[in-house]
Amino acid sequence: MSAAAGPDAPATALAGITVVETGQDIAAAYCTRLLASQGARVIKVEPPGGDPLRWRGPFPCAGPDTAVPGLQSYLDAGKESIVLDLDQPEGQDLLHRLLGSADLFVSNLSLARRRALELDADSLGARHRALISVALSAFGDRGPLAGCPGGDLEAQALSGVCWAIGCPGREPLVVPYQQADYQAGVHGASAALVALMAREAGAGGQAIDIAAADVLAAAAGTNSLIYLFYGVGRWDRAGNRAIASGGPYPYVILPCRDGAVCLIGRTRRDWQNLLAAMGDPQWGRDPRYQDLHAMGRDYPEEVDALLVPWLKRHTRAELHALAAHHQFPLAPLKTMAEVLETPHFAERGSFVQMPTAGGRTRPVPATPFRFSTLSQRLDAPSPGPGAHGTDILARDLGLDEAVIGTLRASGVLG
Amino acid sequence: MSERPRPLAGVRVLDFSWVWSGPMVGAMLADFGAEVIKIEHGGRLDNARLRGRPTHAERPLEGPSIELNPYFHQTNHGKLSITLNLKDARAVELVHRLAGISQAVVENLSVGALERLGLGYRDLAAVNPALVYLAMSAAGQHGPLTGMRAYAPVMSSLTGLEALVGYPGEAPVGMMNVGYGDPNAGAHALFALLAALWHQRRTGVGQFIDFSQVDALLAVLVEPLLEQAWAGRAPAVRGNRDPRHVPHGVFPARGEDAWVAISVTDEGQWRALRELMARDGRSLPEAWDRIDARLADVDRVEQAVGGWSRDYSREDLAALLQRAGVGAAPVLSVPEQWDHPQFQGQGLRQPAEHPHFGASLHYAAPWRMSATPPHVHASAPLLGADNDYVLGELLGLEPAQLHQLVEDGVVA
Repeated sequence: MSAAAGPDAPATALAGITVVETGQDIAAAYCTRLLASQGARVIKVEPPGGDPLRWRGPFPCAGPDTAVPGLQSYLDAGKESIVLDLDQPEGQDLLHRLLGSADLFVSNLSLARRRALELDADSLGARHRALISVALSAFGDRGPLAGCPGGDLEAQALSGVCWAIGCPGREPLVVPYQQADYQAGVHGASAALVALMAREAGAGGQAIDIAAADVLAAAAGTNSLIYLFYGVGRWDRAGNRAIASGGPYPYVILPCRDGAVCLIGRTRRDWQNLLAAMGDPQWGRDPRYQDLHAMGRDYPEEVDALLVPWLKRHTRAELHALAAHHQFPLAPLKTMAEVLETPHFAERGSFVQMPTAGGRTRPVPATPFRFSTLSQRLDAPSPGPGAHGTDILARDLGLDEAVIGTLRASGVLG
Repeated sequence: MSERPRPLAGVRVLDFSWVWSGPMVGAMLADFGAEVIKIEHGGRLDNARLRGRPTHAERPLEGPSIELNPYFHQTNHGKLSITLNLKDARAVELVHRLAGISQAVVENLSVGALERLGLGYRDLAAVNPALVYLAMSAAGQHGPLTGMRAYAPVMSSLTGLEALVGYPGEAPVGMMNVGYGDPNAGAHALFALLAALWHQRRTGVGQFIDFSQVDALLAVLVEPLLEQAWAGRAPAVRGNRDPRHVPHGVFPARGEDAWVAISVTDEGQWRALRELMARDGRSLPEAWDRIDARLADVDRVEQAVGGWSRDYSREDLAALLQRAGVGAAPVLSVPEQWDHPQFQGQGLRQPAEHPHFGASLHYAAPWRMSATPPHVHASAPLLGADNDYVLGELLGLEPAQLHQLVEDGVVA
């Protein structure tokens, strides 16, 4: 049961909004996770057996909660779950009845599947006029690739972002761990809020269609403008640096004693401060190593070779301290273990402890923002599969025990 | 002609932000009818105006170089521009008056910068308690990292992302070329702002939003974070691989630097791929019909697919695989993206005319909406172009007063 707002409950931004979600994997789940975190009521409709996201893990390596899946717990935090067999007409009907009193419907099921279930934009528009539907997919519901197979990988490939990552001559790389799916999700959540405002102003319901490829294309297209038009012919991948160093040297990842650091100098002072930290080496006085733009564009590897021996004598922590002292921008490439131990994140509360099982809690990211007066639901647990099915059918749809029993027996309700 | 729906009509936003992560929030609001006023100062310009003179077709463009930057146009399209010297108390007073008739403030400057000028949340909320004030700092308003400069690679290094980008089994290459932190922060900040605006419209209650750009990266890097935090395993550098699916990667096509992304995500797709390869005389071990066998032999599966894929052009291969129900797409450069049919005809890029730069296409908010689609109604503003409208019409200053403020360097 979600922590519904009683009269004394602290206000959340989206209290009173009801969302129905049915999807798979990441995009729809992340979209509605954001909405749930702001107090929206999110009803997640899972297939028989539960959302396959539950089998992905990561699972705790030890403790009373090793069966609790990490990613699903984070993505479904604060939601209610009902398991419905949408392949049975009664299951479809129940979902549509839930949509009848929902504000938002979010799905990243395939276009074909949504059409078959009458969950596509046209069907929903005809049947639920006030409903705002959010479809999330790799290519969108319209256009030459509508309904085509492909996911995060293909969306990134088309967008232009993949082209720009990796080493020249080798295969280009995507932004890892399904970033296009997360971007589709967060954009879908914002689009839903704009649509809610529009509806409030009299616009009625509408269909929102988020193509992950489009979202990434806007980012890649914007990013490329930093480079295009300034003597860089194309925003091509350049290995461990930005192409042509994005201007002045350095803008590069270089190895050090215990890993790697990224160095970003944008001004003459940055460069001089770096040289000062290195003890003002003789070569630094050579005009060849004072022309930052020539260095950045024409011979950056040559300059890398001058820095690396010094870098390799220091750990990331030592370099970070030197950088802070001498005022040049440098950051250590952290491991996830180090990220989790970063004192700043503990102070800010960037991670919250989510209840898992057996009295245990585990850390998950909070949301990236804090409000001055609004509350958020940051550490609500995620539901077991179908945990709220009976409640939802009884209270939201007014079905009695006998009917619910029949639905369960026939497998419509899981 | 029916009136274009503008769901954010009546929302006035004061935009102090620079470069990308902050400005993109305002531009997206403008796409839905918000009036976004970029508060600039001739003596201290948004870095995005200062990238020098762009060239097009190898010729330098004509006009004032601060007005010619396409990056600036994209991230500030649809906005108004006023110029105020915020070090002057009279300029600060004018901003206070603007705050009184605005619904939101967006800034991504260093922590404390606006406060020191008397333009912090407390100052402006005193004038307008309903104001929503979005402060997008690198790492939040408090804590040891508040002084951090919000460079994208610094943020992605500190959140573990850079260390995860590379080829499987090799040292990280990173993604210095791509500023992922910026659009990720902007997207999440926009969500927070809209949530607070929704609440404001219903209750009249304003809000200070302490937004951390690095926390926005943590939010989407949850999987590798939890691999470490829950499962006690250092997350791997995956390249383009997915631990659930084989093949899942980027494969060479015919020609130079030609690549195709291919993902096989179920057994039906595997059989389809195997069939296509068999037709070209490349038979694959039957054992590979099972995903666990492919996972155990991923290097060899990739070699086999990569050997076959080279015989096709990017377009042919992607089309062939798509028709067979296998996920596939060519890897496009940005100029190729501009021409690809996926990105035509859905309103993703919309035209706007700029007085010096001429006609160009700007990315609208990348959302297709049936009733209230985003609309790019203008390019980026010329510096101070809207002083008369904002200070004269909105705030009611007389021309003589405005003239005096210009003379005195307050409006500058």
